[in-house]
Amino acid sequence: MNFRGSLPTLILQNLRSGANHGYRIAQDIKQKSKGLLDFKEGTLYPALHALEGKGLIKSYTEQENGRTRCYYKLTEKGKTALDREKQEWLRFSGAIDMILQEAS
Amino acid sequence: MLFRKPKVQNVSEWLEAATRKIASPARERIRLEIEAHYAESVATHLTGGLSENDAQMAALAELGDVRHAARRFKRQYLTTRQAQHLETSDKNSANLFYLGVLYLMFFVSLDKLRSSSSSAATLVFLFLFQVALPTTAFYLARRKTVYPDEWLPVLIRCCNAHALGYLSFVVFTVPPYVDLPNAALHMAKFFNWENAALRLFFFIRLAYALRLAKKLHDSQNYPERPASS
Repeated sequence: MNFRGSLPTLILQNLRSGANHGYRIAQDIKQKSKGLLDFKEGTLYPALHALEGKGLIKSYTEQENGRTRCYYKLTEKGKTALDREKQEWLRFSGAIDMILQEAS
Repeated sequence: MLFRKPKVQNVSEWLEAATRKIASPARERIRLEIEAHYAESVATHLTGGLSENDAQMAALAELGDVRHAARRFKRQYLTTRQAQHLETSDKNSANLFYLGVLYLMFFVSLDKLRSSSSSAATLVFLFLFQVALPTTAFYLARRKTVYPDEWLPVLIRCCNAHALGYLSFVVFTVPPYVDLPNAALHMAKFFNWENAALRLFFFIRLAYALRLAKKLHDSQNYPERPASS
């Protein structure tokens, strides 16, 4: 299945608990989905930058072990968007569930 | 094999292949983030008991297919070619002489159209592309700041307005009024075809500008808007 469309929502959800960087976001999503959702860098960073372009997240840099690391945090606009996306997802998945249960 | 998978041996090669066509500053930003990502991934594998070489190989494999990444980056960020297009567009749009030439072209067009009872739509069209659009582009180019949330200015900036103005003159004014010598009458059909091709080219350029504007609108290649006091 193609889960790429759900990546922005998963990123927003991950950042709800605090600022995070790209590697940790990818690892968190992978762990929480028990390895099912494994987004590669070619997908993750364009999604992060697109969310930043829309003003849903904001980035800042920090120096860690002599390396510049880019962190992302959720904005107020991002929180609102996440709530809306979650509602829509629950409605959508509920509808699919109903159809699949009926079929079986 | 014609399309062979590129052999990537290390993270530098991966980054080079993935971001080759991307313009700065997006290119530098991607490289910075993925290098940090890669370093963290290697460290995690080392902690997990892998040797240095195996950890690097595992981290490299986790970066994914370089061609897929390159396609994704190219779709989202400005390519060097697009950045050059914008730079040329800005430079030409800010040129007062070019603007004057376009105004002159519009008056020439007016004169020709008046004598040929052309439709008002053609006149409006020519006014738009030879006067209104280049003048707005001139103002924007002199202002030097276009913000991503300003859709129309972004689109105008992407249009390469003066080139569209010249093209509109050639496409919509010149061909019907060129006096073909009698001996070349048989070329008339070809000329019509040429006119149609030019019109198609004109609209392809417009479509390209729209696509570029969408990309710019979503990108990070803009200065931050100063906070309103």
